[in-house]
Amino acid sequence: MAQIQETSSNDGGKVRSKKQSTKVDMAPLVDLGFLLITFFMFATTFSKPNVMNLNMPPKLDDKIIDQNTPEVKISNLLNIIIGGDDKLYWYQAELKDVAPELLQETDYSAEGIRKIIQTAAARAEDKDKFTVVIKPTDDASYKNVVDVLDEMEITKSTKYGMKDADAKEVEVYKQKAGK
Amino acid sequence: MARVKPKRHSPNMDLTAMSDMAWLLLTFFILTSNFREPEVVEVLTPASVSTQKMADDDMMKVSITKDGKYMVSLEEKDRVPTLELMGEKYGVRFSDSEKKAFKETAEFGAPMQGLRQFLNLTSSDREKYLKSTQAGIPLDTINPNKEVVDWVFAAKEVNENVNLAIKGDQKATYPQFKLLLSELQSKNMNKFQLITTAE
Repeated sequence: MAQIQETSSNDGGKVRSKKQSTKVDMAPLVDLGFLLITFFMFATTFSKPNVMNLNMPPKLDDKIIDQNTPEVKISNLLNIIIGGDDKLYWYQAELKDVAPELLQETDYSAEGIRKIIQTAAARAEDKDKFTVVIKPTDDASYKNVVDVLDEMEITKSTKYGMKDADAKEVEVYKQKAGK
Repeated sequence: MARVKPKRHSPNMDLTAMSDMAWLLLTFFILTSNFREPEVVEVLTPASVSTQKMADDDMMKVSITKDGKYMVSLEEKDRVPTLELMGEKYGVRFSDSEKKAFKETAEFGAPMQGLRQFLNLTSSDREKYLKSTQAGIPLDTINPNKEVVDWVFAAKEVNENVNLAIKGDQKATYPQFKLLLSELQSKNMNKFQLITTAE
């Protein structure tokens, strides 16, 4: 033990050298120990990066796709086109009807795309069949794609898919963006 | 009359035991934590609300840097067998010292033809190379050279439980990401994990 009680009864008359107490103040040592523990505990759990799962559909033959493509009502479908320069567009229509007037611009804020997904989901005819189709164009950055995927998580849209923007959509998007 | 005084305890408590325990725990945490391998090329990942943590084991990483280059980082125990497998495929023979150097490289980005040269560099030269414009593992569909995909599948052959995490830089473009996804999908690999930072 580090502590030994000092007994000082000096009555012999002899001059003794003063005994130093063997007590050491342990408090700073303990403080430091716990501080380092806390640091290591946090450092180990926070160094792990977060991940987001992305499952893509398996590649199928065109024949199988043609046979099994279900009819999807327009109101159950929300198309999001990711443009360049952090721009975002959406429409709810048949692909053949897409026109620059139909394409609506929005942004990545909570009031922008998130509201649109939520209102579209609420308006959908069959709420359990509501599907979001994410269509990034070649101008989009990786961050934009992750941001939109993240919105899927936030709005709890479980049905969503990602595919390249159709040639017609790219054309319309370019007109809209004024390129 | 003498009053009975309660025996006064010294306010000094014996802290030795507490200190012992603190240092013991500290030693435990230091020894069990594995340190993050240093990143040569900085990749700033986009933010997301996802709270899922990346698994400790059986992960391989393909990074897309902001210049659109691909880098691969393999699990330490799988590195040498994967290198041997790739060497067989591309007809490159690696010496023992090159294998050792490969085992110690957390992240590499060199084409197969230049990999031996890359492994013979000193570690500071290797860092310089990775930061230069020549770095990166080729993934090209025009002159078919899909080394990134080959690395991924070689690592999968060595360790079938390995998962692929894609670590893209915020500034990486969608076509670079799409190219990687579509090449892997064409070989029927459809599950990915995207590394993000917490918001």
